[in-house]
Amino acid sequence: MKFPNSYLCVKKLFTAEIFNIISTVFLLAASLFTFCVSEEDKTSAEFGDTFIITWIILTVLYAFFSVIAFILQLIGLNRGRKEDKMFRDAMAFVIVCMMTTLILVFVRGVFGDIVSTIDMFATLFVHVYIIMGIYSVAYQLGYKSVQSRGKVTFFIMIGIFAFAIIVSILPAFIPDLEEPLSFAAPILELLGHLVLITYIAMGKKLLGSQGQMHSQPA
Amino acid sequence: MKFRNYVSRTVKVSVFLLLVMVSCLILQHYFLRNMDHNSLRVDGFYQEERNSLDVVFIGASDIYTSFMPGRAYEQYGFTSYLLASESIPSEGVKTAVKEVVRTQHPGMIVIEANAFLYGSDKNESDQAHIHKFFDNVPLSFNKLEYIQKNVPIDEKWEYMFPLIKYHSLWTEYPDRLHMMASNFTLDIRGFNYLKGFSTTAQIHKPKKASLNSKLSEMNETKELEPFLKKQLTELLDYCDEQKLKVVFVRAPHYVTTDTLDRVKRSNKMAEFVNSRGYHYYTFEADAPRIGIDDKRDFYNSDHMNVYGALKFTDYLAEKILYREGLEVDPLNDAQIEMWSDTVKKTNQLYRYCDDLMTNGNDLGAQEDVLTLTSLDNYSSAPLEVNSK
Repeated sequence: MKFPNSYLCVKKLFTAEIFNIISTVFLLAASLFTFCVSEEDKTSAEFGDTFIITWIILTVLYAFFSVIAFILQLIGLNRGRKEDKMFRDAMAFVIVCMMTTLILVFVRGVFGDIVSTIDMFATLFVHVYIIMGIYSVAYQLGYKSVQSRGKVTFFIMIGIFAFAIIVSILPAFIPDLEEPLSFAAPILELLGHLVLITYIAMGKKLLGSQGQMHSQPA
Repeated sequence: MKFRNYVSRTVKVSVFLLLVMVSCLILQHYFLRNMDHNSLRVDGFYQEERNSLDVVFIGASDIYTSFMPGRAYEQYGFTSYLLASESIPSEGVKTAVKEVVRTQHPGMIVIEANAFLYGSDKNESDQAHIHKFFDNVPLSFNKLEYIQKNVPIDEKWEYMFPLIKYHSLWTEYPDRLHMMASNFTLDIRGFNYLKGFSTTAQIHKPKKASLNSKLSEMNETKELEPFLKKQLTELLDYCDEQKLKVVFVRAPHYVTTDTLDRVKRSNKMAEFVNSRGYHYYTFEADAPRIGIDDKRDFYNSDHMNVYGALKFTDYLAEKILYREGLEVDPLNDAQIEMWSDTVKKTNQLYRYCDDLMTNGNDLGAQEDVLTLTSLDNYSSAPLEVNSK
């Protein structure tokens, strides 16, 4: 098989993206739940405890699946970096994401906003380098369709990111948009993962077919 | 492979630019910044959870040295914050009200009248006082509106990126280290213990006699400065438009013949504000009723120390709750815990200042690491002082 490490890397990344999608769904559910429950119900004697417990469960599930996705990404990219430096660079940014996520647990205010911005960019760069890693492998194997799909996926990612930046800045200028736009972040995140997973699936199929070709008798 | 190389190069340039931007932001917010109690106070306001405050107080030093949010919560159960800045100009008051509407939607906004009572409009162009407030307001539509309307074109960038103005402050280190540490610990903690209150542990030694006991009989008025009256009119128009519950107050001062004109302007402002349907409480005239002791409760002619602040807090809190009918929102467990810490720190601060004044030591007390560390030596138990 050509690029066996890249194949194993992409396989792990595919599974990681499934977990990322699941975690984002829980995040979206938590946001929706918080939005739909009225302020009075949140602090009422009858419903207050139920609200807190439900919110905690959804948030814990989001965190749990996110951590699993992180670990799978690291394992996958650790294999992939042996064959392509794009996967090596993606791994570096995954580590940056882990650090920023950890720091964000402890800080708020302006420093928290700065770290959050770094986290946002680092996440984008992880996706970009994963796309470029698969693109690079497709280039070496001569698969133009995967390459052109890689370009399209790359530009869609940039578009989603640009939109996410706008959505995060708008409430500072139009405060009434803050609550409606609070859903935009998890929705955009979900969209990003869905776009990425379709390209990773393409890369996985491409690299998997390389293995089958070479295992068939001459 | 051109595309891959192009993307890779773009990412590297982006990372570099991001690092430059992050470095500038960190320098601007933590190192090269005019940090003092005003910056901690305004920063702390924006750390408060959205829509979590029942009352926001807006004004100058008259209010942030007079009202103790921790005491108000402990005794009367409502949450509050002092969004105030030293000698805040009238434009600052207007922007502060808009920022409160943007971030909090409290049940009531209390505005201390000082910004509208000056005899001239010189304070409106006092750069130090303007920067003390606006440097600490995050970039928002309201801040941009202020910059667009009021700031000369060659200074606009300084207001949007204060690093441009304060880049030479590195020469003042290591003296500023404790304020930098205070700033950073505020971000780690996520809330301001004293909710904007700061004071000086000192007892005023006046050269002139106080006229406070005679103020209740004094109904003379003096016209407000025309520009400041226009500002007040615009503020009231905005409050009408937003249907805000706003109350105006004038905190107690050590009034002498030198400051009588300000009292007269306050009376005029009361007339004007009342005619617009808003309440105005002239607590200067109420000082004897509040129990303010002219010989003990001020640290200078314009500000009360903790003895006076405690009495005034109880008096004003009762007015807000019972006379103005403030509706208090319930708190969740995390908020109750935070406010419990605020109450403890406020009680410790009172005892700390009392100790200093008893021993004749004059010292400022505010939300910085030096003061907060000193408070650990004092009890946080409820105060046995009865202000009534």
